[in-house]
Amino acid sequence: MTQSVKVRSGTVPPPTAPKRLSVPGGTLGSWFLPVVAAVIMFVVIFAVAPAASSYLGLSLLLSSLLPLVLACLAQMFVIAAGDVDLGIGSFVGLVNVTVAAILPTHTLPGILLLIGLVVAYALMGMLIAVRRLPSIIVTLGMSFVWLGLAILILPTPGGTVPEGIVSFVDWSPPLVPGTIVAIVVVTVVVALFLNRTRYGAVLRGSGSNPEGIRRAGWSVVRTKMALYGIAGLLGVLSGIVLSGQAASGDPNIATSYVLLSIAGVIVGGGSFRGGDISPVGTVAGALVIGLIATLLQFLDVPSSYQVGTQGLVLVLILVLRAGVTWWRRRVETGGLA
Amino acid sequence: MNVRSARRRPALLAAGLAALTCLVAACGAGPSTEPGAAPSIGLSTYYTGNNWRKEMVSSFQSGATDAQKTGIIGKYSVADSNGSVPQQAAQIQSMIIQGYRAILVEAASPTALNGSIQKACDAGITVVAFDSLVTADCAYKVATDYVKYGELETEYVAQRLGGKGNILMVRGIPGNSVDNDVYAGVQNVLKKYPDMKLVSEVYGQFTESVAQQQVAGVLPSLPKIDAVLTEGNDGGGAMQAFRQANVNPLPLVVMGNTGQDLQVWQKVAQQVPGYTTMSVSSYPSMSTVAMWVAVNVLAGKPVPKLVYAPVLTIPEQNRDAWAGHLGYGEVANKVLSQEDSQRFIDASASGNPLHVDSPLPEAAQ
Repeated sequence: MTQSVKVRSGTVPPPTAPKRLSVPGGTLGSWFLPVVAAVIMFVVIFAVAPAASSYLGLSLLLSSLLPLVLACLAQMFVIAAGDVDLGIGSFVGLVNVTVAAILPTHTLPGILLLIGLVVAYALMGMLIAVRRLPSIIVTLGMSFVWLGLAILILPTPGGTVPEGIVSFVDWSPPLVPGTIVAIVVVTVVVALFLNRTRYGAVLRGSGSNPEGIRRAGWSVVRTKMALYGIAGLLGVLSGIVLSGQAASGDPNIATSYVLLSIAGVIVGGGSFRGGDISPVGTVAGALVIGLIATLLQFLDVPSSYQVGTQGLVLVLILVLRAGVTWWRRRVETGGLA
Repeated sequence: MNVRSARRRPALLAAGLAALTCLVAACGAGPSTEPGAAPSIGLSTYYTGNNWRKEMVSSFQSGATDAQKTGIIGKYSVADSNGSVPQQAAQIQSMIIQGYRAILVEAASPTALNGSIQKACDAGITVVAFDSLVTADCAYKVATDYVKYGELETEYVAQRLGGKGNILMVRGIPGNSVDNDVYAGVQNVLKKYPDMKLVSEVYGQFTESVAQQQVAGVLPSLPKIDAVLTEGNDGGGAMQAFRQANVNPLPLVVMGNTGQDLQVWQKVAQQVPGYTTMSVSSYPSMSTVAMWVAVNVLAGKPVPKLVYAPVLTIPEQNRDAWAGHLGYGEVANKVLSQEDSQRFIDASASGNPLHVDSPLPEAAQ
């Protein structure tokens, strides 16, 4: 991430992507720690359960994490705008229900509805930007709208996801499980877009320094619409993948994603400041969040301690991160901070 | 559903499984997957935060410990997904990696775990869903017939009131399958008694304190209530609301098997001579029945796909024994043995399942 778009530098960000970006994913500090944490988790899991490192083991381990990764990236774009999205969980649930209950019988209306949902997200961003509404209130309110719609479409869990989506999500190329390919592709695309393109830099800048972006001639309303629209698109993708895995619909399938996705972004090196996010870190954060429970299960931690221990591990990672941030600032400012 | 998944890349799965088995066997980590060894059993639940669930987990653990001592099962473990559906799916998939021979599932969603459960079945693992069930065809199911639950309590109330009176119903959680079933059972019986009127419904969320608040909230607007139907873990709270409002005479409140319910029942019976009611809820140790179903399936014994576990009722004569046995927040339970489970399995197989059981607490027997 460029220093020039940070609030504390006080400078107006240039509308073009600076040339000196070398590491996709941002500064060393923000993505490094979550990646190390994710790697450590994999190493421990492989040590405890060697079967997890086989092709089948890896696909079982990671397939359920792909929708969470996508939901975390969706949350990341909203957090990049300096906002928080409390509706992503029921939004993913609504996508799941649409895929399970509308797509099989009414293909075209189903596809139009999914596109409409992405547009609805962009419009929600516009509403928040134009009326200067607190995102927490708007997205919380919308979460009930998404859930309500989902329950209208499918009052009780059921439905059948089209075979095409199930087998697409189940795609098993030789050598490397499809999930790993998907995670890598999504991470690279999002990281390149945010860190290497002109518009990516503008989007990040609009979260950290909207005034600067406005003065540079960009519409802050439009950047916010773009951030929310991308979040909506990623949310729809998350819902489609989740549907393919569950093979049926349930309005409440993803309610836990609200807090998990926020935790994933923050553990992944992002902050609520706006603009201060890392795609690589977020993906690593999502893996960490998703794997903690699995790790504890493999380590045979008693169920009554599992929930509490998960929380402790998260706090530990955040404490480590705070320590790293403090150290970096000390080094940067020559020990005067 | 299982037909569709069964023809999904069987060769690849077989190859993967072979690799998995070999890795597990070679490294000696995780539970054994050899057919001859005592089978390992994992229990996957999505919530352990209330008394019923705690009792459910601990009765599985004590049943499994005994079975382990006698060499019937090998390793066992319990995992809790903290309310998250996708995490429970991940949990089940991790159990496949760990090589469990059977997985018992208290499902967070009736449909959303079907993909993971199908993967487990495809890997040759016996899956038994219990209490909150799944729709996946390949899973065995251990269920309480909650429609019968509703019929039982309404039938009791109808007899006591002589088929005439005003009823208040404390329901569970809107949209919950237990709530839907109990309510359907209540309606079935009420149809037969046109003079029994369901005058109001509140949602107590299977929680005493919530039931108390909700009942207290509607009481001022209600006509004289003759009886209160409940869905478990809510009768004592409902009764407290009537007592605090100084309602006289107190209605007939069906209790829900918690220590609080029984103590309130005792207290009311002391103050109001001749006051009597019944208490009913499902068996927390359905988890143990699920374990024995899995053991039977793994041993190749015939087991019906759907096994009914009875509800646990506490009639008047058992009240004091249970009240003395249970702590305020505890739920009535009895660890169901292999013989008990076999009885339920056989009764379900014969098409005449056992729906009601009225045991005494273990210490009193």
